[in-house]
Amino acid sequence: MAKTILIVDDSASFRRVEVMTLSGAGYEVIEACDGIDALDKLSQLGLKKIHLIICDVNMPNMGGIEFVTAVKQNQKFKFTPVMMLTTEDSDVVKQQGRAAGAKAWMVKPFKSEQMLNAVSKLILP
Amino acid sequence: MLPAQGENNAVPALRETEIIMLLNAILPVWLRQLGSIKNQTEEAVDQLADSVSSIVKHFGRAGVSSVSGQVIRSDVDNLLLSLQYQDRVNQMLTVVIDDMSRLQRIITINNSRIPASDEWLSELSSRYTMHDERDRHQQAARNGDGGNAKPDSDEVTFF
Repeated sequence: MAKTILIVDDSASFRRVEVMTLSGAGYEVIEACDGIDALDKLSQLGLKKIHLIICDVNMPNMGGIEFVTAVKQNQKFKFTPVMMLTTEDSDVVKQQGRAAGAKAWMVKPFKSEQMLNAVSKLILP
Repeated sequence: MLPAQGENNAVPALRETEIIMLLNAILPVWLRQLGSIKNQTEEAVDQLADSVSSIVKHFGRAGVSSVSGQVIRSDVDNLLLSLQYQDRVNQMLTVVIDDMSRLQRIITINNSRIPASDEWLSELSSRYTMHDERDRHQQAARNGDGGNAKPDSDEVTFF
């Protein structure tokens, strides 16, 4: 059964690149355009499991750090791994992501191979 | 850059008024042009993404066993990488557009405080997300030429 990944990014064109990369490798992908939308999508999952969240940092309505903080407070997703995927490369913001509960930080733009390697390391067997 | 309050003794009042009138006329045009560039780029990238998506679907059915399949896979990977630069450009344009809008607001509101250039530039630089943006900003602030900053290198950090 395909593993499911939630991608959260306000750029529609960037989400398309993520979807093409991940679905091409056999993952099922759910899209959200910001933190609020992502929390909404998570609340509608029912019994479906999310194996990984890939999240941008700078987004309108609710940014990535705030979203990850909210996700980690939810018992259902407390152990779901999160990778931040962003143009943001400042060490200060990286540490904020780590403190919020992110497991990895990838700087955009990504190479397909690099992304898939990181995903396979983060998704639990 | 407009001088800070208290530093503008060298600028005659009439000339200051003319500069403000000029900026008032030019800034909306610049903003409209930049907004249009941003929209057109997004549309072009959307169309390109449609084409890549279609190639990926056909390629997925064809498989990767043949040599030509591997060549196509490599080309598609390069296309996916190139498509992401639109997102970077979009973010860079947004910072510039927002800053021009900020300037426009200040000159259109009577008696609004005009910040010192250092303060303005510091606030602007706080909105960058990329190393190359910060490098260009620092180079430009030092010697007026910030065009040589290199884009960031790709990296993954595991915590």
